[in-house]
Amino acid sequence: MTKAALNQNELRALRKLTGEPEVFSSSIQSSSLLSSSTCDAMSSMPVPDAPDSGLLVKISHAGACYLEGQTRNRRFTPQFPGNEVAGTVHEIGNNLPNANFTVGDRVMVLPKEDSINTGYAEYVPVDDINRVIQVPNRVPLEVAAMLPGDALKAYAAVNCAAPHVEKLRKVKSSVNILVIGGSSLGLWSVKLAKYMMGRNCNNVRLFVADNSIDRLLTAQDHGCYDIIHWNEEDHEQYIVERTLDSCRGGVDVIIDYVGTNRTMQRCLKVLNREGLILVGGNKPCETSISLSTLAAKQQSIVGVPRGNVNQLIQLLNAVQEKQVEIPAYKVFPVEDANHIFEEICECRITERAVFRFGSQSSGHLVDNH
Amino acid sequence: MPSNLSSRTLLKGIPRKTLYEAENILKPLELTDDCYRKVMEIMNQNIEEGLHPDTHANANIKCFPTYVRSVPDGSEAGVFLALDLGGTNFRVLLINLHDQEVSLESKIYMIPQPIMLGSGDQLFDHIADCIFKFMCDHNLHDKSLPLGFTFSFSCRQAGLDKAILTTWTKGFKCEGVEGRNIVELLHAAIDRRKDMKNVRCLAVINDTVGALISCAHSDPDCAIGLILGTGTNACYIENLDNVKTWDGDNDDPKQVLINSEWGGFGNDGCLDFILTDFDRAMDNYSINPGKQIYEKMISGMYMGEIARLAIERLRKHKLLFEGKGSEQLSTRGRFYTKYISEIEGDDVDNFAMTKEILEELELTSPTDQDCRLVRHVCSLVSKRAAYLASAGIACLLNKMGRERATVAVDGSLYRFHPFFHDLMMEKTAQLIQPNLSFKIRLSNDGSGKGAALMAAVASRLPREEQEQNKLNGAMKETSLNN
Repeated sequence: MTKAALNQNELRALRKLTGEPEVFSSSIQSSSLLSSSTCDAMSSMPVPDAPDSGLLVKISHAGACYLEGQTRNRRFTPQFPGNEVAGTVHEIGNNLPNANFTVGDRVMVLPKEDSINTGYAEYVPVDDINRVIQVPNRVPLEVAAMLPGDALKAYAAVNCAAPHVEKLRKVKSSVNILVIGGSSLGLWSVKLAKYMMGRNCNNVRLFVADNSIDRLLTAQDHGCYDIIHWNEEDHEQYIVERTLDSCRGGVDVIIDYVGTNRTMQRCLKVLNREGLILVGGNKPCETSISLSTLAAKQQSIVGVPRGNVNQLIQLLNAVQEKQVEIPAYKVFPVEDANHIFEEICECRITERAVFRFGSQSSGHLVDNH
Repeated sequence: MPSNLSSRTLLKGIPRKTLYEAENILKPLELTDDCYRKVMEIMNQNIEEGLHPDTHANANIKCFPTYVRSVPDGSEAGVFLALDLGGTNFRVLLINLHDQEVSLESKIYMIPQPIMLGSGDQLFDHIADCIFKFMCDHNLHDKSLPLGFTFSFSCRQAGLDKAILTTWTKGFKCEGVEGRNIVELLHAAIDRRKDMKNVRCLAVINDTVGALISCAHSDPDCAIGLILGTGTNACYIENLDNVKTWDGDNDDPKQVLINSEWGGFGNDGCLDFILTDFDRAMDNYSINPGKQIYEKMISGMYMGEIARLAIERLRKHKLLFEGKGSEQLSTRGRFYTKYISEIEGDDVDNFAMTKEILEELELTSPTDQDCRLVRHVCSLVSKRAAYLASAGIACLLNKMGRERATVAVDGSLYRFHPFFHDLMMEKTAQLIQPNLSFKIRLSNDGSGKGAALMAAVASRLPREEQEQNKLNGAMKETSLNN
């Protein structure tokens, strides 16, 4: 088995990419990275045993996850799977009676709440088979790999916003939705919003805001109504004015995947009465909110919910039936992970990157442009 | 409203030794009034050089004539398109002028990096495409639309509708544009499409002219346009007699707006006597070392970096953050100029905003003393910038000698810094001749509205000429001396 272990140079590059060693070493990821640095890049690790009541999944594809908002000029923290993984059943536990799984089944894995990043591993033991979802043949595994992560999170967010939007559509001639963060989460939100609104979406406008022009142009290509440049170097008042210039009549629903105090303060300045903010916090940070204003304007702030297994199955079915368009993605060999994260960091890659593990397929890249 | 604290009040409670060491490091940022007067004297000389053909070629302050002879008088009417290109955000505006009322619709289009660095044709095709989209959105295809273009890059104006780009700035590097007339390039792009025959560019201006013209629409005393934003520049009204480089007609009014391009002041080293180590360090790493010295001491693109360098210096001397920094604080360009406005506008009992900014820079657990010193650095840097801009304004006011004049200002530095206006009022009053009076006021959306007004004025000229012929010269253009 090949483990995508990092040699000394790669570790140094990644350390540079992710910030100061002292900061890096305080995280769990650091310990796993440091431990993996003791392995030669070409060495072979033993294949773990299947858990007695679970499955051993051989990974074929993994999404390249990172925390939203942490690109360009900021510390960039790759998130190793398993947050987004798909592959095949390699071994079935001895104590799994009446299992519906067979060796070779195509599956994707819903991450655990407290999943610990273990680096890129080709084999993942899964204790709880409820987290393993069979993937129909019509859905490529590189697409399936994306679904349990950003796609599911975006689906949960859009689901949470949907009742509010429906209520507003009945009383307003147009409803403005603002998605903050133009990377994979934002792109999935654009596609999923279209899916959920169906054909009658004439009076709903979905805007995407981001610091990166490149990501905004990608969002535009994905069919959002308009894009707004939240340039971090610009004065806050310019950003607010620019947003209100675009979202005529103010914003009714905001999905904020970046979740900083700055984004929250901007949200509160553009949000309409009876507006809703869905916020996904990426890191510990606080914000101040005027409770009297919140009450007087009947506004709500809700955390972006984690998606659940049922939603993941709904999402998988919608993808299978081609009711949801897949945002642009590119498949890369997992050995190139460090370089790919660097490209993502510099916004030279604005599509979702998916890593392919070598033994599953031949050398050609899959590109769905 | 935040108050502009005196240094004494702000730095109260800081140990004397710390204060002494910090002030020693920061002292070069404080200039004397004599320095400002010397700056004015040198600037005046530079302006004279820019206005004279014998010295123009080597002048640091180019003083390009704009060919703008008339300013709006409030009678302008009609529907106009305006373009505003000054950076990566390109705006198209539709402006309706009627009885001094102005209604405006605009849209921002983004310019991706490949187009900023590609060919000139690609850039202007993109601009034409944006105009087309805007016209589709607003159902404008069957209307004749005079257009004004605010192009905020260094240009030599060769006519009201002719501007030769001298050099790209602000990250643009399109091939085949420097040395060319941008109106010609725009018309060529429009003509390549064959579906926008109703759009013609009548006037091209820069943002300083736009600021002045926008303000003049309601304030007849308006005589200077000033930009204090990412960059800095000024334009002012000059008598034709003084513009030795003038190659146009001598009809009334015998005045023209001069685009000073004063950001280039100091390119020959004449400002070295006020440069600090922070300025030199910042200049060394800029995209144009040794150029735009005056601009680099004033404008928003550079002010944050000067503050960052000063803060880092204090940190290295263990006067801030217990000597521990962060990668963010060490990153060039990471201390945004908006931080200066936010820090100086902060509540000094809690320093809530200051602490948040320091946290964004990964500086944890700042002390009250850290916050006070950081604010002090920001205050010194912004005050110097405001005073240097004031010296420039005072130089122009003295040169014009108008009893009463209004300075129209636009740009993020002036708009958002809590004290910039007051600092400039104070210092300018100190530096001008005693018999003069002035106002400094914000010009709203000069880049958009000013361009439209300029198109209105430009579209008026042929009609007035006809009327003049008909009435045997009885009609006269509105004078700048209204």
